[in-house]
Amino acid sequence: MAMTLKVSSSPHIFTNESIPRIMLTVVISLVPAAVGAVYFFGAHALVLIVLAVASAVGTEALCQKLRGVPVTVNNCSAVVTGILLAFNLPANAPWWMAVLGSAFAIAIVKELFGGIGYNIWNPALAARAFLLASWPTTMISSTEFPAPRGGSLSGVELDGITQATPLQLIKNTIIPIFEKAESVSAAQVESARRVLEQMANADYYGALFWGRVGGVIGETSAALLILGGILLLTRSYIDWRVPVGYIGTVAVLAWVFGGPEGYFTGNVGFHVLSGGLLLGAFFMATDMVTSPITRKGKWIFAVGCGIFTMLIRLKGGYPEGVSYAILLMNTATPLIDLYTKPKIYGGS
Amino acid sequence: MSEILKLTGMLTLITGIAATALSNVYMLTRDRIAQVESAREAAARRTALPEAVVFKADTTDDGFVFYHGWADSSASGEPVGYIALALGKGYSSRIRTVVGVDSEMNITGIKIAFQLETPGLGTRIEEVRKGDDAPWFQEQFRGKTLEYLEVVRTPDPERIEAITGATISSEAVTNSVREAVEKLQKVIQ
Amino acid sequence: MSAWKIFIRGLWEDVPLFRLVLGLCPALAVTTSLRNGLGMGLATMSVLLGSNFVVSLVRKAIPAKIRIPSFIVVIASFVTIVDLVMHGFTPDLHKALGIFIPLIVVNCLILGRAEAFASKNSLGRSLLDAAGMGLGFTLALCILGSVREILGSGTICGFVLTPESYRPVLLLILPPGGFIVYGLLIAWFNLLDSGRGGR
Repeated sequence: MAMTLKVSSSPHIFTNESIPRIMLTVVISLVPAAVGAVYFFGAHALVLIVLAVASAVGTEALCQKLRGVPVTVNNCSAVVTGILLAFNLPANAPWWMAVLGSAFAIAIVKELFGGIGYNIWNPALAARAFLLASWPTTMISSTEFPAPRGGSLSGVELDGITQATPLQLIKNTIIPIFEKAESVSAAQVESARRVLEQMANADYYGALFWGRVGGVIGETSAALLILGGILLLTRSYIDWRVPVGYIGTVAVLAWVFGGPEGYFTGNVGFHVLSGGLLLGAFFMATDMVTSPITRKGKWIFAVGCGIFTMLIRLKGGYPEGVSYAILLMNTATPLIDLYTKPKIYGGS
Repeated sequence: MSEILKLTGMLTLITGIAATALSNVYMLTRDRIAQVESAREAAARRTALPEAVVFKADTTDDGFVFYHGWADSSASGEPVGYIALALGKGYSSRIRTVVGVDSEMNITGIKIAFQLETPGLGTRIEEVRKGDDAPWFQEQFRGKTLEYLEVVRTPDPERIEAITGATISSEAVTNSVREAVEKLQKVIQ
Repeated sequence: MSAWKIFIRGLWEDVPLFRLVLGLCPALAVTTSLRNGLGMGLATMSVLLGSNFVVSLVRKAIPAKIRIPSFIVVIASFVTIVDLVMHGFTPDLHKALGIFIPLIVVNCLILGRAEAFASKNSLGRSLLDAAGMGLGFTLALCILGSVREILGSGTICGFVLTPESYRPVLLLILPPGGFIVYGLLIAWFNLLDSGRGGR
């Protein structure tokens, strides 16, 4: 009997990993934060998440049918997009925003570019940018965001200042008071200073960590996001370099430039725990399709995200910069990949 | 050599004809355009200083242009008010606002003359609400004095209510109006 | 090519915006409403008629070496005329279109037709070409403007179309919305073609 030799090209290592398996794990890692969202903001948060997921899956199936390619909604990637999009909505967002946002994410950002693996930007984030540009009053007037159960919008006690999410409060109220300290009353400066003091004590970090401050539905509780992030890290589905590089850059920049009263006085804990940084750093900047492949590339990507985030938070027109920072670095990803391509051994 | 001369001559001829045609069109439309522009300016002044009918331009030594306005056409005696142009850096454009004040430095009205803010957000500084006939944001300035020119986020008849989601544009207009009134105050008194 | 063919080509087969992809800058920048789209389209068409007319008239007198500068001088003159006339007679539209009227000078559609058609064809045919291309361009701008105005402001020509509860998709009247609507319209035109067995 002749001996058969099988010839196949590399790689020769076989793994059980597959897209459905990875995506299912990502969904599971998002469950704690989703449960948290429903606990903090009530049934409407659940409605938003369910509608966003249904719309994402439905749009994907429809687009793939129209394109005449196999329908692959079972791989859960649309579910992940739907959940992440819902996480970026305020809890008072109308139901149709979740539906339209998800449809935009899948149809325009993902399928038009060729489906999974071909999209340039993170679909959920690009759809958030679409919603933000289209209905800015709902997406950013955080004075009207609902407060989470057991907390308040800003998480601090305010006198004579309107409640808002922490970043919005800092950007639109506290910093302006310091900037024109001569033309506002001494009482206002005093109350602004009291807000900053409250934001720098351990109780406040606790509020940010457990989720007693306002925000969009998925960013409220740092603890639940970190829990999901740890699951992904232990399974090695995300590379630790991205969250570490991203959060680290934000921390350093926050410490150096973040204080309203001079360099090296910034509130690091505040900038790391508030807003959507953890959601972005663990679940969106780590997207395999839209972030660089090599280790070096991942470091560049993560640091870039951090720089843009802080640039927008401190100098830009919006209180929060995570989504635009990641979108900008998504855009730069092909370039980063090009310049960090490993040299072939022996090649020049 | 002769070819270059020929080409040069040809181009000169073409540009010459074009220039002649253009100057004729210009002469024909000049008066009409001047009319349109002065009507536009007059409308802005009427909104800013409704009481006055005659205006006279004036310039300070440092180049600040403003207008005196009189209520009677003889333009004698004390002016009823003054008009100046306010310039403020908005979200995506330099917003130009015509500001009118009476002799007591109470604002008699403002009129946005130019803006290119974000459609649907910043452009609402010119928004006219259903049933109104004047833009509500600009109407807020009428009758206010310097110390109340402050943007607030909640409805407050004493101050200027910001436009939701367009704080930068609201503040740009308000601050530039305040600066213009301050300058006028310095010049007049 | 028959006269009818020359005219109708600009309206379907070679619609400047969707098939030739010429004249994008004004198309995307000013089509935030039907009125602006129509105004820009008509302004462009007037310039196109004028420039095709003159270029065709003098096509034999102009040496090939200086034809491009000559065409540009002709086009720029017509643009300035349109600009002055609009300033005097349609001041509000003139203000809304702003810098994009002078920029018709650099609209590739106009130089494109001068170079590709008017400089090689008789007066009558050149005018027909300008009319067809101009109408096609205007129609395309009107389609873009209508879609963006209806969805982006909930109005058409300033009339409120949608119920009070409709919250317009602001993005569509912002620049990115222009690109997205334009892209989808091109896709739609391509789809129509593939339905007829391709081109």
